[in-house]
Amino acid sequence: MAELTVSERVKRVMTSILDLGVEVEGLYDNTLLYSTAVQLDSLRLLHLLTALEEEFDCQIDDEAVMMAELTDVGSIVSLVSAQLDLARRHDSVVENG
Amino acid sequence: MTAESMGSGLEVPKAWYNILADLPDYVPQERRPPTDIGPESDGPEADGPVRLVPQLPLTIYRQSVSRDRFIPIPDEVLSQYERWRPTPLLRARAFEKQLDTPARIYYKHEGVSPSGSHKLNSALAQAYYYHKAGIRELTTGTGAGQWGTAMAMACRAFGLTCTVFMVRCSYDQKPQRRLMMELLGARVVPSPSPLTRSGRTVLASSPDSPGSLSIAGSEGIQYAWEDPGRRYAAGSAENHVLLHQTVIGQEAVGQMRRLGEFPDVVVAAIGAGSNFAGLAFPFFRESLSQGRDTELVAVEPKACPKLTRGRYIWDHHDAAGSMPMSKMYSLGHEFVPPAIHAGGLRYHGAAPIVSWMYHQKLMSAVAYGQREVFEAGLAFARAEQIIPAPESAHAIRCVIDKAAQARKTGRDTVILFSLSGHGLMDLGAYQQYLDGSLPDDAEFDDLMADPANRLAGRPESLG
Repeated sequence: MAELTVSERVKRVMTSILDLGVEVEGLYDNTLLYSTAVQLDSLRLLHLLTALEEEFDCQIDDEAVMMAELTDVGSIVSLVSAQLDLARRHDSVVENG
Repeated sequence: MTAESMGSGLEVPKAWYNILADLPDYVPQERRPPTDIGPESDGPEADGPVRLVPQLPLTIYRQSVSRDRFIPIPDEVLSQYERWRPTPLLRARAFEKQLDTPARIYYKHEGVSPSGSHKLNSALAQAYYYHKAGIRELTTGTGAGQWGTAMAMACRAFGLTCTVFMVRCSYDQKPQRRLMMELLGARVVPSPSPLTRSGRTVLASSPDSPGSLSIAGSEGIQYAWEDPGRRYAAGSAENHVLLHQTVIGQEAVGQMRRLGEFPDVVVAAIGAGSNFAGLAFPFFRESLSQGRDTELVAVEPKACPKLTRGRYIWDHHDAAGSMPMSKMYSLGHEFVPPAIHAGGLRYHGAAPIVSWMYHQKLMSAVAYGQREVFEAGLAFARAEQIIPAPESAHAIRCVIDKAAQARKTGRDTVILFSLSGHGLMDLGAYQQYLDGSLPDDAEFDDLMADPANRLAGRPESLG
């Protein structure tokens, strides 16, 4: 079975944590966070981000969250991907240190 | 300092104590009601892609929901704390003598902080985290001004701009408190103000409104929405605020241990709960681990009796309902309390954790009237030569009753209370008390007559 992509994992966490009434396949990158499908507010966003930290075993940077243009599902995926890239680069620097 | 006073030689705690790790059951977390999901009211319109803006740095949110018993204090915050912490724990011998009580009375003196109250403990932590998150300006609401002063100071420490919405009646009653914030570089706006939609709405229906903490909170958050580099920082009811204040009680536990004492009663005034939690929570943990039966007493004003006369309901933290709801003891978020001088206690609700503990009977609460509180504050000032803030005088009023009980029963009783702040900015209020012009609660009866009616229909659950 193929490994899930970051995008698929983010959407899977979103549907379960936020108790959305849609399947992962029904969640598109351009689905708006304020839409009736997602119904995210600033508090639920923080709840979601801590769940994503757990899913990806990473810590999302405060400044990255505060400055991110979080408007749709794709922007959450981009935020997580960027944080994972950063962590990978950091690990690589430490290894090659 | 006497032999019983402790402070120097002790270390500042390196971690905050998180009571959620020790509570036996689930404390409901704050949330928006299902009917209220979407862009925050008064925020941007929902048409098109709207940017979602978290108010809290993720680190602070993690702290507020964590189940870890101890949460490390960052070095940058710790070095700020070390400017004045540990605060002294003092025995009030002269006060004991004046009360003719066998009780031993101790107090934790938070009035020695640079801002004059306990509030700086959380203000510094929050300013640090917001600064680290790239935020340039913090807004907030303040009652008597202790929180506003602390925020002004903390923003200064971490290079942030600060805007404080100060409850109108306190703004008028305590001009020097306002000046203090301005000296520290903060902008101070009397609330309700024409600066926000929430303020304008109140002013339209009640041009002479004395304001309230919940209105000032709404204004702070709505003003923050206008600039992406600006956020609202709250200072009383939130889990993380209670957490930051636990340095007080942790120090006091260590200080009392050195004296070979342990309190039978811990007393603290309650606005929303940060002062009470700061002192009481670490003693709750000690009582649990040592199998002791320490009484934790929150003291509130009769003019704003959220615990003793409120209901345990889902309610908003602010007047406009801009913030999420919490399950808490509340008098209703639209309630505008009478303009008592203990402005820091004029908050309609109690912190969710404190409310839950009260509901579970893990603590008790008592309410006093304004004049009897000032009488107590004056008695303490004359005995101990420290002028307490009106908020702290509420705790002192309760201590007098506990000391009288000890005299009556002859029981060996140890009482510890929080002197949460000094009253040097409240001399006008003491002057009113001395010249007999300080209003008492009988004059507030019309406002307080119907808490039950006002709260009818408020949800006890959100489904």
